[in-house]
Amino acid sequence: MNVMEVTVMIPSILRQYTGGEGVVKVARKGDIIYSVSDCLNELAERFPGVGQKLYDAQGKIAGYVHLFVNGKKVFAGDALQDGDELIMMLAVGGG
Amino acid sequence: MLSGHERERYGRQMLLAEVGEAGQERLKRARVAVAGVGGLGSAVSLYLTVAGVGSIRIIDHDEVSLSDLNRQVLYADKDVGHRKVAVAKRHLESLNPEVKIKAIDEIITEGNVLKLLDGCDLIVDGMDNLPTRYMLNHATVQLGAPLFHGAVYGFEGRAMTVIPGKTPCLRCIYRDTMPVDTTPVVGTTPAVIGCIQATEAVKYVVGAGDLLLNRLLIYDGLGLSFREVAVERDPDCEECRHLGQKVS
Repeated sequence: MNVMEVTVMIPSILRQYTGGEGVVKVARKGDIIYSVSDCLNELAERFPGVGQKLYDAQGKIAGYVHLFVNGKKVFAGDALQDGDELIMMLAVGGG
Repeated sequence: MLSGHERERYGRQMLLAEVGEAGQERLKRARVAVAGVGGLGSAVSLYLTVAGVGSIRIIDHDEVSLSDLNRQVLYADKDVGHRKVAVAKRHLESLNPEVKIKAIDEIITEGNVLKLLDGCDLIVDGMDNLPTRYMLNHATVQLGAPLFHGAVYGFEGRAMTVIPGKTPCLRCIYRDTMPVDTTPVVGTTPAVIGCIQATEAVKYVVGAGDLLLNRLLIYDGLGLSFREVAVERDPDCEECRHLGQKVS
């Protein structure tokens, strides 16, 4: 059985909801297609506070959430591979 | 032409092959707008002033508050209640009287942004909110001037350099804004990002090094790391699509 592990980089804005963790591993077993959306859903289940920030009132990924895998922009439906690094960037504008 | 005084003043940076006398003269001729003199704008304007940028236009419409003083290093306790641009101008001129500082005490709006930035060679983003950044972005695309973007939240910051028509503009990469009441921030975060913006601006003027083009730098002060993500122009970008395809 395949084991799939994705490293999710948690922006500092959301670390209050992950117990201060800046790097979270999300793993899954089995021959499955695993998308960015699946990964975020799993993350939101583990850390409900993160989920509240990631999704809008309609349950869609909020417009201010920008996602990158291995340094390149991706969208919710894109597939992930074992070993990928997912970066979440939230549009904030302090100065 | 640099004076003997200027050669001595800027001697340490003129020793660099990337700067030299020609680069210092370019800096002297440069006209830079710093939009917002808060946390980012403090760091940027300080370092552009001491680098010898010839003309700096600082734009803000706020007064100094006590709660600004953890990060806005242009200001001191005695400045609380005073207009930021007036205090900043005095402070910057005292650091380097050879630099011409123009203080503009106005709110940046869609109606005046082009006028406020007119005549500047490059524009530095020192804003404290995304909606006003989008106005700045719009103006830089219209003017064809480079924009040195920075943004901060808490221990985290981002920086990117925009060359309109060649690299992604802010609208190519950002959508919406995360709702926040008051942005929490530790003072060193805008210092780090502001210094990166100033570094980019100096590099751009003297023509040295590799700019933060087509890549967004993410600074994580908690994990103490810098990461980059690749960003591309959005062919449907409402702001810059009319400028055609990427050429470099």
